[in-house]
Amino acid sequence: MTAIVSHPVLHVLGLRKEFTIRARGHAGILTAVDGVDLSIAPGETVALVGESGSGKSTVARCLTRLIEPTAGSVQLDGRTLGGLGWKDMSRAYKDLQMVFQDPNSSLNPRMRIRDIIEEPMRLHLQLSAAARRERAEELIREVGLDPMHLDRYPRELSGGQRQRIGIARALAIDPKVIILDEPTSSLDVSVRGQILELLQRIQRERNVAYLFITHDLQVVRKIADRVLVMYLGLVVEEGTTEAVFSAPTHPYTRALLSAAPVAEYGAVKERFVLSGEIPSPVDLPRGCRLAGRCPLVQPQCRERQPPLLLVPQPVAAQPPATPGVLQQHVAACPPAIAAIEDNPALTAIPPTNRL
Amino acid sequence: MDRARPIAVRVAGSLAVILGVVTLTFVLARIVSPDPTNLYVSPQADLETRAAIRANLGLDKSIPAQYGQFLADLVRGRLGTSFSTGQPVTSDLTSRLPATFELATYAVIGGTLLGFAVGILSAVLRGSVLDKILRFLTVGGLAMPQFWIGLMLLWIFFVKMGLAPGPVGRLPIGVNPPPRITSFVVVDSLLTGRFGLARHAAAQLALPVVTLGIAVFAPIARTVRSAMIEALRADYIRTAIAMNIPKRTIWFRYAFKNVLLPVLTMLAGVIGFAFSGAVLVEGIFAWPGVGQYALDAIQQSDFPAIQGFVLYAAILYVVIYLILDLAYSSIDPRVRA
Amino acid sequence: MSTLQPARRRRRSTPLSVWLGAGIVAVMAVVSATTRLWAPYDPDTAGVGPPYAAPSRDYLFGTDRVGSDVFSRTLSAATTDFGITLSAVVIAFVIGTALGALAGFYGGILDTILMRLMEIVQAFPALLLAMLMVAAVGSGIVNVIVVVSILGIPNYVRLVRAEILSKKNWQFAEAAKVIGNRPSRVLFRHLLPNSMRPLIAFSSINASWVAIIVASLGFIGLGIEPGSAEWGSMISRGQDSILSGEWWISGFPGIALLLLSASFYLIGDGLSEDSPGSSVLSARLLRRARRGAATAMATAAAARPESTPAPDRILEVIGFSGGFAGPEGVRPVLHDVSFGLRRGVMTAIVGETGSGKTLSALSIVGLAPEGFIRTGGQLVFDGVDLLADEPASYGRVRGTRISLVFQDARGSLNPVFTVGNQLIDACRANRKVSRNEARAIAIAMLERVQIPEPERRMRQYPHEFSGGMAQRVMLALALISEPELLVLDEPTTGLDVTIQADVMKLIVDLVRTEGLTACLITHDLGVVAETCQDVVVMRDGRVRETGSCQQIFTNPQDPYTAALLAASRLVEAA
Repeated sequence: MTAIVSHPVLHVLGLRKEFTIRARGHAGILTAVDGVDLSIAPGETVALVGESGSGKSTVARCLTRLIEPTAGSVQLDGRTLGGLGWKDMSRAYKDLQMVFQDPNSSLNPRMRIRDIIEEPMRLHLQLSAAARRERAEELIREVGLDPMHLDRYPRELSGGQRQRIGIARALAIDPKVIILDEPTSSLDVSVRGQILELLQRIQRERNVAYLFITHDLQVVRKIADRVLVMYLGLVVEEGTTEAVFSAPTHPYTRALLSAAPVAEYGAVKERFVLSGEIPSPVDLPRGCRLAGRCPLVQPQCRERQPPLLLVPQPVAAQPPATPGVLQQHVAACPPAIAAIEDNPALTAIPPTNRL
Repeated sequence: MDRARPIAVRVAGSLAVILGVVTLTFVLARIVSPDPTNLYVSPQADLETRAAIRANLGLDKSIPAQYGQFLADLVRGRLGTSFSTGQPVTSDLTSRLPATFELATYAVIGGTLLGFAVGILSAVLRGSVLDKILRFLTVGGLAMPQFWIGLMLLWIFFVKMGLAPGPVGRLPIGVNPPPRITSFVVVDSLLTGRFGLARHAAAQLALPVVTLGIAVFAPIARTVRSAMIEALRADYIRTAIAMNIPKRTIWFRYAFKNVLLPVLTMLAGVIGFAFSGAVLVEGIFAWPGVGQYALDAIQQSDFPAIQGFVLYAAILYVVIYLILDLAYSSIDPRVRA
Repeated sequence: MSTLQPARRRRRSTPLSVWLGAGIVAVMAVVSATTRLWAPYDPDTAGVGPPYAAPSRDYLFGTDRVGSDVFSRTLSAATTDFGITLSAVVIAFVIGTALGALAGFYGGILDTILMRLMEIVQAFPALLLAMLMVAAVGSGIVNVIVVVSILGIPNYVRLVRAEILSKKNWQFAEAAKVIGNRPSRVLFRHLLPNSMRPLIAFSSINASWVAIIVASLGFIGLGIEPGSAEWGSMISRGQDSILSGEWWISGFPGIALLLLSASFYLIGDGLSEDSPGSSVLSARLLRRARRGAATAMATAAAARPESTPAPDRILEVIGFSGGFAGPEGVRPVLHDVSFGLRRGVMTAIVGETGSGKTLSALSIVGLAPEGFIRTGGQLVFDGVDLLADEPASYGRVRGTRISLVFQDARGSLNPVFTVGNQLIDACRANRKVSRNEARAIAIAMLERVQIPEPERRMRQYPHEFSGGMAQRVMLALALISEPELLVLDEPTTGLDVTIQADVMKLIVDLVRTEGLTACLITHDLGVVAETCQDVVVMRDGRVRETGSCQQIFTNPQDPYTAALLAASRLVEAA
């Protein structure tokens, strides 16, 4: 079903991560990521959305090998990453970099900005000291700072400036993919916009692909080409940003979208409410993981995990056939899809919220 | 320390620690005294006599065999016979434990109470002149060598002022102890109505208890102060203030229970130190406890005695830390199973 | 994660006690390196004076039994004790740090074995183990150094291991790995340098302890060669003389030892003290700043015309200013903040980091962080100026009439008391009810905030609640005293969107049904649009704009408000 047309720069199949947790002498298996497929075309931005416990950050950490995935294959630019020692991994990292969530703690407080930006070059590029210096200056200008900042320490910069340094560090060795793990969630709103615009500009100029991990739906809407919605370790809905936001299909996606507050006076919203608590990831229900909270629940939902199915759409809304990766809008909710099929008018459902 | 482990695992771990301690001591003891026969015979004694003694002590066997024998004896509760006293080590230790326990009990109780009082006062009045004076005293207590404090106290209170008796042990020379009930001389004297005797015993205790008490007081006061300051800064204290909870309730209930956690760990270490016989304090005051016994044993290469003492100290340590774990889980719900 | 960090960018200053300790240690180091220059007599020669001479001009510290000069010997011993202490600490530091770093970073079997070994060493009484080992390897300076450093190693291993474990997953360590550093470089270049401060602090405390152990060994006669000048053995030599009154033979070496040990201790203690705010210097600073502010306020108050608060406002903040104490007096952070809260209305105070919104709100109940100094203004609550007779005035309104809900609910509840206990305490502190009545009220309150099974939940501890549930408990706690004004400090920040929506809905419902006045501090304009009627926009400690929600969102007057709105609407509304 994942029909790949051209070569994605990052291709992930069946990614799975289990943690063994020991509490009070009992061992349990926590499945943080339960078989995630995902591919990103060169220069594309894919957003991975979910709440805490959804496994979105675990995906990022598995891809960068900060933790070992339990199963699954990862292809980066055609090469399979897997079972690599740190030397091979180190070479692979040349094409895969990461920007972290908290700019206050992702920069070594004891290093000058210059050393922070030059460190990846030292490790991967054969450059003279002068060339590294020059490149560091170019990079810091590229992220919108002044070269005088190079001789400062992280604590002397503001949060937004530090995040720009984090981006410059990731760009230093010209990777093909950058994983952005909630890069704006600890920043003020006014800074958030600037960082996003910087990221978009960099993408236009360098054709780098982004995997954008976030819980902020506004950010997704602004920056992502495609979006994957995760709930308790599984992708429950996937599609172009346009499709998912205009016709959210999975009840979880709908709840998520309708819960996000809108900075608009008198915005009338219809809330799609999920009741109850999120089940423990150690003791997951057999069928759909949302069954216990879902208003659309059917008996068969509790039987087995529903697969990702194509969401029926009006012809006009079909995405243009750009050669690349999976473009279809899919959701793991047969009852919701059945409802659309029964009532084609529903396909043109007005957005439950207006982000 | 992993506090979430179940009791059975903890006990097994404790036994492993005891075995390790005992083994390490065995090895060290063999290095200290490869040939203890000199303790029994004159240096001129002939080789046959020495060999006979060795055979008698089981020292003619190979080291692994000796180790095996030693462990087997240990399991049966036999700690061997002291080379220097000629008595079974077990009875040596049990006859000296009451002295150590009496001294340690008073020092720990007094030092802990004072430590808590000073620590809390210091924290609540943080930055004040009183706080500075108390901190100065605490640092002094932590940095002063025990044996020197003991000597200086003797000089001041015994030599100069004549307020305290000399360093001659639990009772003045020539005074007979009361009948044994609890083995605590003061308590036994009181129980049998011998008030004069109780006064004598208390006087003998005063300086050693103060000396050892300082070693208990200073670390407790320091830990209580810093834990209390940290607790008072915590968000939950701010909540309590916002909810108009009375100050005294906040200090002595809300903050205090959180202070207990770090202090308990410190207390466990201090109790272990005091009850394993503060070697130097007992030495200076001629206190007939296990600490002095251990000191003599080392100086005379009396390794059954060393072994016995180390085993006692290790068991003490392990038991104290087991109790600490239990106390922890009764106070901190986050640790509870 | 509090948004209130007055000293965020300030470097940690070094307390005075550290300098004092370092000074004494430095003097000792110089003296011990140049003993011969200072010692009036040869320290190792007997009979340079009469035996047992009391301290005098000729023999500063007196003489001992064999007529050696105690002053010269004390100086000479400094070389020995200081040298042994320093060497032992350096050895233990290097070996212990290396082992601890490896154990913490790589974990696994190495870690397990190492930690078991360390546990065994630590199960010995330290002095006894030292005695036993010295007895085993023989006396002598080198042996003493080796033994004492072995005793110190477990402490370093534990400390460094814990440090590395706690920082291993810090983002800069992860970042170092992702850019392709080899693991050992992550450890030694990125992790260890960031653990140095606690390590150096500990080394110093360790040095204090080592000095005492070394002297103790000398005292027992197990240290270096008997007879050579060393403080412990000197004290031991004078032990018997003390009983006959010659205190100086033991007294002076003891004082020297105390001085060395205490100075090391002061350094370590000062460095490990987390907040320099408690040091002598800043307490004085605080007092001075407070005095300055008080005089300034008195003159300002005299000049200010009487203001008549509007009757429909329960709280009126008038010209409130203040800042944090710094070396140059008060560093202002709130400038002439004025706003009012209309009765029965939910007002939002909106702003970004550093806008002063939380500080303003906490000041309403006198909960501004330590170091905050008011430089002017009035807080009129229900017609009474709260600042006129603070802090007594706060006692009358805080908790009873004004309640607070804090951001991090789980951190704001006491971890070692049950939720029920905390609710009952809060109820009884503000309402004249019996314990049983308070319990009933608490259960009813939990029901009101929609916590299922309230009776069972009463017996649970805060850590057993999820973030959203804990925030509901916090809400119950705030409402249990039946307040008139509810101040909510970022109540849903950090919660997931769906949970956030539920909690906000609950808050709005409660405020409406109870007829409360509420003040919501937030950075999220989306939340404001959905919940509030009045809005106060703040930036850099100043109020930029106040107005009704509709006006602020549809017709913002201040350019900053407009910019903030634009930034909040990343994507144009469809």
